[in-house]
Amino acid sequence: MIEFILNGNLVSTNSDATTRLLDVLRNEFNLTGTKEGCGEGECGACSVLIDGDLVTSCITAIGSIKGKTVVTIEGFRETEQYKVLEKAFAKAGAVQCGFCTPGMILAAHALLSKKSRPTYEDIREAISGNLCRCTGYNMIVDAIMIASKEGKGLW
Amino acid sequence: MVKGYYPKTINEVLEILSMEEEHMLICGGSDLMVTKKFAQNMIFINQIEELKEIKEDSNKIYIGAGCVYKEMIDNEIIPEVLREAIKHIASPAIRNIASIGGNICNASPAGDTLPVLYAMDAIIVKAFINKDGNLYITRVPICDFILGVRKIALEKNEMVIAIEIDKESYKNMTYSYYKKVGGRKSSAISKLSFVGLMKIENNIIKDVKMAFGAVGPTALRSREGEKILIGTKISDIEEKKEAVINFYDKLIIPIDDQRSTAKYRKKACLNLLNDFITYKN
Repeated sequence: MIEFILNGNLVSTNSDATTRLLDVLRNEFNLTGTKEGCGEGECGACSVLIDGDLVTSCITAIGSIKGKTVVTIEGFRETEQYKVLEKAFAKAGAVQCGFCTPGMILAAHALLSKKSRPTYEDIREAISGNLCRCTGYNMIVDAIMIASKEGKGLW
Repeated sequence: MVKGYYPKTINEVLEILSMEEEHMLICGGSDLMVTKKFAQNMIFINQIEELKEIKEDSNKIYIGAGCVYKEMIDNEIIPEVLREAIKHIASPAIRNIASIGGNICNASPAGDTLPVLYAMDAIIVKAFINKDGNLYITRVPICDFILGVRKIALEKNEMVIAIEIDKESYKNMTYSYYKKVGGRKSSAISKLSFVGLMKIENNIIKDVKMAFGAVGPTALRSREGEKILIGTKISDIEEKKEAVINFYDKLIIPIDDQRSTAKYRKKACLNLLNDFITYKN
């Protein structure tokens, strides 16, 4: 049995140690905000936060997160930071099909947690592992810049 | 069903390894989870603090095998040229979990830390426990540790615990040079890469170290090729250039694959080599 903290609650799973964190989240905990795109860690749709760091859950074995803290988009939704990012993404038109959005939001939060006033270059670097095939990225970059200004003191 | 082990110390790992069963070490898992080739017993080593140490003394630096790229990019003990290479690996999310020990032991021809480690004559530090229960530490140069595509000199009871780099190999270099050629800036597996370190004193090349990545089964480095340049006056580089480029033209034998062609790889390698040796002119 592997125990970890999921969105603030202590949980456990009996899945094989090499089961993908992504599958545990979606299949055992019904947290379907975490998406599967490429399945190889290259698109970022499955991004979650582990101990505050952005990680692609499709290439994370459940065994490697024993005792760690996992936050998915569902857990992050409850935060003040999320509200700022949600508004900013809406304002900038940074969401079209929405498939990349949970990963983009968490990548944005991971960046802003380290650097609350990033440059455009920092933002592009921070979302460089998150693919979006709709918006062409500019609106997402703008949204994160808006959030960094609107979210004064939150990050 | 796969069995997971969660040791907290290097000693605990070695004890598990000394048992007879088939097992495999997994750190970040960013390569292993894609290939999905697991053993019956998986030993998770990503939470062993002893493997995350980065330290230095007056002669060398020591990098724990479990150090992830993110920790290395931010640490000034790590040589700048290695940090530069790491910045171009994968994406932020992967750099949060992928370890240097994993990159070495995975022994991919396109492993991006490998040419840099070859150029700096990095030493791989291995540990094992023998039948009497005594701990042994052995050291092997990286070029003797990596034997071929995904082949390494590691016995079943051994693990890589660290990488050591002699400061002489990169400090006091006049300049260092690193270029990766990939399909895009981020999340790209190298088509090829090149690293060069050059030491110039009194306008004479005192030392030079060069390695190429992703153009052969292992990173490619040749002391013979470097010796063509050593001792050359900077003003005479143009005359030596042809001999050096011809030498590497014969030495580099890339392949065609889904990422690039042999022809492109060879040409780009030689162009980067040319750019490096004439960089400060």
